[in-house]
Amino acid sequence: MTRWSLRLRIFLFFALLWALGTLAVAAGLWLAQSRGAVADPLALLPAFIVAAAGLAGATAWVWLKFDENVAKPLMGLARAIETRAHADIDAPVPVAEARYLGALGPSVTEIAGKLAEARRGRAEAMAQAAATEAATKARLESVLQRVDEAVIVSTLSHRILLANPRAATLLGPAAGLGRPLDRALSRAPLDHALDRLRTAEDAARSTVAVCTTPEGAILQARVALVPGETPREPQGYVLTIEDVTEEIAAHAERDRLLSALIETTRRGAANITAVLDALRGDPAMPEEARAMFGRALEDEAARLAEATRDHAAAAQAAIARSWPMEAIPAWDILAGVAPAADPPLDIAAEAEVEATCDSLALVALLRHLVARLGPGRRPALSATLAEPHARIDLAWTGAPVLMGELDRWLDAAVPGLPGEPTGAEVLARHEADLWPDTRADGRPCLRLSLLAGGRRRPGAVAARPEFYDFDLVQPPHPSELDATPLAALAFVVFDTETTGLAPSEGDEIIQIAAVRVLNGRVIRGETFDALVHPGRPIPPASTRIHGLSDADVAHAPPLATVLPRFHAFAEGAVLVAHNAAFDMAFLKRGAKAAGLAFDQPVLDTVFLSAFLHDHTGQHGLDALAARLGIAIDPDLRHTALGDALATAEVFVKLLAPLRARGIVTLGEALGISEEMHGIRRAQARY
Amino acid sequence: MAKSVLIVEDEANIGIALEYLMRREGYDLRRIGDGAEVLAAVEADPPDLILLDVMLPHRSGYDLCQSIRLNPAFDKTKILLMTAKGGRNEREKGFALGADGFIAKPFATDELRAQVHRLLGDGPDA
Repeated sequence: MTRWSLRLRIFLFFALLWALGTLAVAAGLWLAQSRGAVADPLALLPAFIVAAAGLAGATAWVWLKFDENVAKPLMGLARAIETRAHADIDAPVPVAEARYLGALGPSVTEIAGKLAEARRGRAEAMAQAAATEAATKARLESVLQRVDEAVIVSTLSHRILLANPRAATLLGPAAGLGRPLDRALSRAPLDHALDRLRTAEDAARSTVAVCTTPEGAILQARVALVPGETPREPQGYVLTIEDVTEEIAAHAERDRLLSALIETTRRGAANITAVLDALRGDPAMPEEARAMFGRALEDEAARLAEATRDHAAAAQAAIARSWPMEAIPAWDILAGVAPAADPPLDIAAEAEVEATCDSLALVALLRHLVARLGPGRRPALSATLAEPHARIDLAWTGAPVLMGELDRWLDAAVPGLPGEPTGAEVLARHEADLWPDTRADGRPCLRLSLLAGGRRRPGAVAARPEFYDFDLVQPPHPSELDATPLAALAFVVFDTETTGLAPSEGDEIIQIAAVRVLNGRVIRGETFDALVHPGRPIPPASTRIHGLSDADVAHAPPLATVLPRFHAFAEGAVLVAHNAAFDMAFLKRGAKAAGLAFDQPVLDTVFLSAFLHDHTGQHGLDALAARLGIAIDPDLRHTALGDALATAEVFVKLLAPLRARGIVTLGEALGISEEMHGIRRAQARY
Repeated sequence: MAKSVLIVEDEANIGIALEYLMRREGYDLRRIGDGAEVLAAVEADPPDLILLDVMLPHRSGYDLCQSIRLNPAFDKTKILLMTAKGGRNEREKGFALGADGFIAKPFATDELRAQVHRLLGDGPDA
């Protein structure tokens, strides 16, 4: 309208100009006529008309030129400025028409250019800031992934917001995102620690809570509050957890050993003293009595000897266990010693030989011995396995080393070790021994015999790509589920492989797999994958589809064992499956037999897809994934886990289109199933 | 001629018991309590059997065992090591150094007698 009115206004202005001009001419002619300058007033009319027409033509021409070179370009520029104000447009400003407007065109171009530049600059700065932040975040994530302690961050209401891979290993699947922490750890010690912290003066304090897990492990957790908006208002807490089960067990073991030793010794001493006293006190003791006391003494002595042997073995093991020992490949130990000689030692190790040791101490000891051997002996190291020991031989060419000399070497402190232990002490710690021997080829050697392989630290933990989410919302009350937006719910997307398609005719589940979806993300680190023994043979036709044969499930646990674990995994979440009716039919039968109930709501991706895309056509998982641009690894297709993951990705990609179509809450999503069910049933009639 | 046994043991009470035992078996006996004196005693009169404790003052039983074995003159002398722990490592070590037998303390005298007879080649059926 504004555009119209500018040109209209200008036109009206020119029209007014013409009107006024014509009026002036008319006035002049009338004046001339009233003064009597002209005899016939009507003769003036043609003059008037000519004048009016001439004026009209002139104003029209000027107006056209004005319209062309001023009005239109002005409006064009105004439009250009307006559009560029609201959107980022690259096209150049139309300045050709504005050439008669002087500097206006170039100025507008300049300002448009500066605006675009400013916008670009801002976008770049934002992108950079986002990239830096993402890089920092990735680095922090990577650190947390690799940290050896288990770390858990939780809300004050005990919902897990972050659980790193070590925590997952320590606490098991109970430590999933959004799950209640008190399923994994005992609450009471934790609550007590939190109370202490909240009433403490120093907000940055931390304290220790000793908790137990349902499996009976003892964990020592250092608890600290995570500050919120104000220091007095924590928004959650952080736990750093260590498994002290073994440590505590070792302490208890030592205490028991000590008590047993004391008891044994005291009893033995008391009994022997008593019997000897009796024997000595009566020189006229009859032969029978003497013999009886003699037997009693023998008996006591034997018991004391046996008990001493047993305690000695237990004590030795307890001492050895208290030092930090690890199974180290023998090759690594030898390689650590090799540079000790010049030229470096020859080393050889049987494959797979590992020694339980403190590798620093062992390498230091061996280097010490090499140094004592001195130059010119061409020493060589080799390692072999002699179950349950690992043997490391330090061989050389030349005269053998005598035991006496070796004892002197071992009585000296080993250089480079904290606490300056002697070689003999290092050997004792390892339950190891060292002596002079001869190799098969006749060369003298020092043979070190220590415990092989065995005691391992828990191995490398599988990375958990998504292990935290600080935006987790409080889960809804069960009565409010229907009204909860889909984005705020936890989902467990699952799939089963079965022996066939007919649950009521004896077909059984042979594999269940699932993955959690939280806050619109597939949590790939939290999956469930279990084979199930079906209790009946698997038909070859079915094996051709999922690749599982009777041999694969021969050792798998029965459904009665697996289903409760799946039930626990799916607790508090909405179930999602592709063609859910099929899987649920199997689940419900199994649940009834196991005394469980799967009463959570169930969503079916087939129905959701049908609602969004069309009522006919392909809704198979492959087609759906292709349509949404999701790649399914061909190796994983038709394994329960692969299908569950694919269905989860599909489900997550459907959430936004569903929202756009007005399906926001769970209740609305559940409603689709009813609707689609009706339509499909109707279709099936045709 | 009676076989000769050298008992090398520094603890008096066990020493007395061992002496008594070996004498009862009819062997000629000597007893030494100090590692430093052993080689001289063996050189002076090589025994048929040495009951050798490993924990001795001045020189360990292992050390003496190795030294005696390195001298071919004493090849006929049997060595029975008396060890404290008797684990696999100890046995291997002893055999590597040339011991002929082991016994772990505390031991039953029957066991000791059986080992001694075995090493000296005179059992009940000899």
